[in-house]
Amino acid sequence: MNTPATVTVTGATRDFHGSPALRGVDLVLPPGRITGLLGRNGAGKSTLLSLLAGRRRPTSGTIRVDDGDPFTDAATIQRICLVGDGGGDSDTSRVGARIDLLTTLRPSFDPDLAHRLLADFDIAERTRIKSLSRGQRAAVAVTLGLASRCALTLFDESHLGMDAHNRYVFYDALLADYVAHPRTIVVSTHHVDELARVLEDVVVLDVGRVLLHEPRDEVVARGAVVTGPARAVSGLVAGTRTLRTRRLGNTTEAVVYGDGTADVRQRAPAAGVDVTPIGLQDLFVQLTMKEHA
Amino acid sequence: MTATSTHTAPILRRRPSGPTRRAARALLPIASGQAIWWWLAPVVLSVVATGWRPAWLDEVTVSLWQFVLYAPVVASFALGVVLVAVHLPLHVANGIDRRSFTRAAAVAAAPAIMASAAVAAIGFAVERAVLVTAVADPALVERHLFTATDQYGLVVVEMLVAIVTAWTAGWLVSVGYYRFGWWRGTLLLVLVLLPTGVVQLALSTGRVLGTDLVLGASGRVAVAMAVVVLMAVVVDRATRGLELRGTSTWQVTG
Repeated sequence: MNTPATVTVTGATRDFHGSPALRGVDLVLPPGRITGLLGRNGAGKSTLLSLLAGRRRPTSGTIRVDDGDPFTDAATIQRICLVGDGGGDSDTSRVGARIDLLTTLRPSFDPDLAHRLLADFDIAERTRIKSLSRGQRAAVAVTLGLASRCALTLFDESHLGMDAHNRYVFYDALLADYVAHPRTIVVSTHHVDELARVLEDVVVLDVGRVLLHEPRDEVVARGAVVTGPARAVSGLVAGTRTLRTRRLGNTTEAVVYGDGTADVRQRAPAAGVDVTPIGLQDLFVQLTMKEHA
Repeated sequence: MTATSTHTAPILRRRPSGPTRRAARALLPIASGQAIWWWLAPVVLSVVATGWRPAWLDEVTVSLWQFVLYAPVVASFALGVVLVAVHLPLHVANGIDRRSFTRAAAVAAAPAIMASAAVAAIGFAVERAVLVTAVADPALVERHLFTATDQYGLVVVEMLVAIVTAWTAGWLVSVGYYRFGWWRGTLLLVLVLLPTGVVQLALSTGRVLGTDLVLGASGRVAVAMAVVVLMAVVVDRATRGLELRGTSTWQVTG
């Protein structure tokens, strides 16, 4: 049985021609969780995933999947699957041939699941990969990634290019197979709100560093939008971490984040202001904008 | 959340246990298929020539088959290049470690290499029996480990060493370009061509870097094998540390 993997990243840095992509990342991903890896373009998401998958080595620091080095340890590598966005512009293989190949290479690969998912995505297995559209290639990629049933499954913007229907097919399939076959899953995405329902934990990377790593519910609970008369809002949020403030006439809207948010919620009715939840995507945008400011 | 239950049917096809075996199973048809292709043209041409039998063929005094022997050597070099450039990233992306891949590639290529050496010897035998009737002993244009085309054992040995050397050289060239890019990869060609040249010289003229080896056939093979083993060690080391480019390479799971 492929038990879910534990990921431990200790002081990992990675440079490309002297330019740092990751700067001292410390991270522990517990087994059997779905983690969203969020970050702006160039934040280091793909670099981190490539280190976790053993594609590359860190310039310094260590990566461990359970106790193994994913770059060198044979038993560890076969427990990891990194799914890209499909690529394959020049791949002349047929989809069915790729299923056969993975059936041979991966001990945990389930070809029946692959057949079912491809049918759900309406992709014929005799089709050559290069003949598929970008979205269809992405669908093939996530199909093979899910069917690999690896202890650590990494999706790097895999569903980029898929239409909305297929993205929801993917989310449903991801959850269903995760429930049936628990594993550690990391999904890097820019479709944050769409995927939020699937995520259990959230890691936000910003310019190569971990900005936060918390359970999704806690992250969302720590944020709120406070709207009301300017003086009341400014008095209420004073002392609380405010990510953004917008003013329209006498009305102010403030996005707050942190431990003080619960207190703001409690005092809001008395102050005559509204406090509404903030979506994960909005919160992520505000968090990363604030850090750059 | 729509968590429908999934029913997984038992996987009936038996899968090899270790990563080396699994990768070897995947690579075997590729290596064997390529070997068939690299022999196809020479063999077909030979069969056609035998059947057609033009008049001028009876006046040929040199071995024609000796020229065919370049085909498997060059094709083996190409196979080494393709294995690193195409199949290594695909296999590593799908759970095979680099060391196991190297071993698996060697295992998968072995039958093709051995069959090629055998075909080379059989070709000479057929040529002596059928193709050339005007001369009893077709001449060799270039120097080889063997001095006559009926020294089948030496033909097999020379072809084995030559094909393995070419395969290893192709692998190293590919690793150089993959790892270091175009310019530095090209500069590294020298480091690959040098040992390859030594092997070729040991097998053919018996002179290495201007020095007569003063060795018999077995001694020259030993020199060649020593160089090949050295190249194989470099292949293993260089491949073990090879990083894959990007996370979205051409393969769909990669």
